[in-house]
Amino acid sequence: MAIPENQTTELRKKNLRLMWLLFGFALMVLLTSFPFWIGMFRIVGDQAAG
Amino acid sequence: MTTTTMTHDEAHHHDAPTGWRRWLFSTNHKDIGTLYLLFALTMMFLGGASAMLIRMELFQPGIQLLDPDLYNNLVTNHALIMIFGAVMPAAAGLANWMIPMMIGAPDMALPRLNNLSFWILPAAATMLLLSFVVPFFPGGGTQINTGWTLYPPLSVQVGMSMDFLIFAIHLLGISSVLASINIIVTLLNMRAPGMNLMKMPMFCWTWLVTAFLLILVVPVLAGGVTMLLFDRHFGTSFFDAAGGGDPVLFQHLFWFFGHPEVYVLLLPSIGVLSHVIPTFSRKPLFGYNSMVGAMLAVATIGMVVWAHHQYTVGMSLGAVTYFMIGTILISIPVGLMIFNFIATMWRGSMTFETPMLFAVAIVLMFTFGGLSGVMLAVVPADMQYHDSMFVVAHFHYVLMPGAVFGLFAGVFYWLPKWTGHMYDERLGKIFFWTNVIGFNITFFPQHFLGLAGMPRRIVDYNVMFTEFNVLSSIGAMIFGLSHLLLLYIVIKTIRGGQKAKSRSWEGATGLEWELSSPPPFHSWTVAPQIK
Repeated sequence: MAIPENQTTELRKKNLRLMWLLFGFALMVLLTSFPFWIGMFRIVGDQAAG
Repeated sequence: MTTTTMTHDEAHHHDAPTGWRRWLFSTNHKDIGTLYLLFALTMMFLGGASAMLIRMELFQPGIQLLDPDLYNNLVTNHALIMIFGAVMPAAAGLANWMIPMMIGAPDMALPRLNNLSFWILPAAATMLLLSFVVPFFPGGGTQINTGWTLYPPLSVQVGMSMDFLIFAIHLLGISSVLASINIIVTLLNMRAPGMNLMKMPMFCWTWLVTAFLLILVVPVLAGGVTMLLFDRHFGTSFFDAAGGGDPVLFQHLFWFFGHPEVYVLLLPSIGVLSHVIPTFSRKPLFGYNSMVGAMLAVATIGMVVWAHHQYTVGMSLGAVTYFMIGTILISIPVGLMIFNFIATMWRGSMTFETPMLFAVAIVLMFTFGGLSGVMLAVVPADMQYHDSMFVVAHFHYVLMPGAVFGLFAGVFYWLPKWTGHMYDERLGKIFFWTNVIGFNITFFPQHFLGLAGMPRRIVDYNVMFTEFNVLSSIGAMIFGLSHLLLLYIVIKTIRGGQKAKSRSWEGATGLEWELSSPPPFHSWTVAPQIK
């Protein structure tokens, strides 16, 4: 498999670090979406009711 | 511009692989870009076929071809295929092809991840198509009659085809997030020396913002449909009022994804226009900095106005007022972008090749779609327009010019670069006119149908709506069939034609035009130095 030519070891590490950071961020958005939205929905619902 | 030799990795290969391995195991951004574009083209024809069936059914009042459930299944299928299967992959195809060439990189930052993001798509598309056909088999359950919004409680009651759809959405989401991560890493880490963010081509900027939007909203959709899956099979009651849940929660989750998704579809095409209009006006883009600012404003405000899609569910007055004002505010940065495009054309030496024709059409028609959007943003007016054909007309006027025509402009603009051949300009113009005229005949009358009270997503209609529906269906046939000409032009250009120069268009600027047409297998083995 061809490895791009400008990918020095240092740059590859830098790319992988940022990749994992972004992947972690996406995972955090996924996992927090459940409690966040349920809580947010309750607040909006209470406001509408009262 | 000077050049700097990059350090070679010991394991890299110089030769392009051949045969099926070239495509299946590809880590080359151009090959993967081509795969994305071919996939999008295929899905566009599938989604287009379902749209033509819908319009054939609506040619006359009464039920002609499709039973009501099948009609709604086609409506669902058409939207999902076009959004997830055609427009998003086509934009990703352009990104894969152009971003490394535009920023002076040899390839995407994470080539294997790039391969994975593409090859998830055919699996997802198979699941998506299975969700459509499964109900036709014995024991396949009911058809998906929810529309693409998948609102519960109906989506909890649908048969097993909904499970196929939920898994398809999961796969599509994974593919989008992986592709977005790759694009962000490429744009932040792989730019040529001297190219700071504010020197980056506008297409790259639009994709940077789009990729961040995708990472922020796709996981929320994934969370929402996972909760739906749990309600269907594992006894939870997230959206079941009988168990203490509420179906409106799903609407919030869906539209938190769904509204920014509109900008995900639009922004890459805005990026294409930012190159096409300056090229054919022979002037630099007017207001680069303000374009970047406007785009960031659109993305930020676009993230927090989702509930304008659900005014009628009964929110508090404070909530609907907030969502209305926020939505109307978006027209300011969008208006600024349109102003910049017009200012770029102003007193330019304009010529009207096919990409520029599409660009001018976009400026006119997208603005029209935006104006009907402002009408829909106003709460009391939306109470009348909601779920009518007016909404169908509005979002097609936003998404066809705003997203799809932009992609067409990009394909015609960069086709000479990709293939090394100029496309047939006469055929390109014929395609443009049949496409645009067909589009307007199809969707313009739908504004009047909606204002007169014709609801959307219903197979039959009152005879008073017949004339405009006949017109709309005739337009849809012209519009749909015109895409065969696009296919012919693309095939003809790939097979041969007048040789394209490195700089295929006289007014084109940017690193991508420094490379040969077609470009070498590795785009920039020697990184350009930007001053």
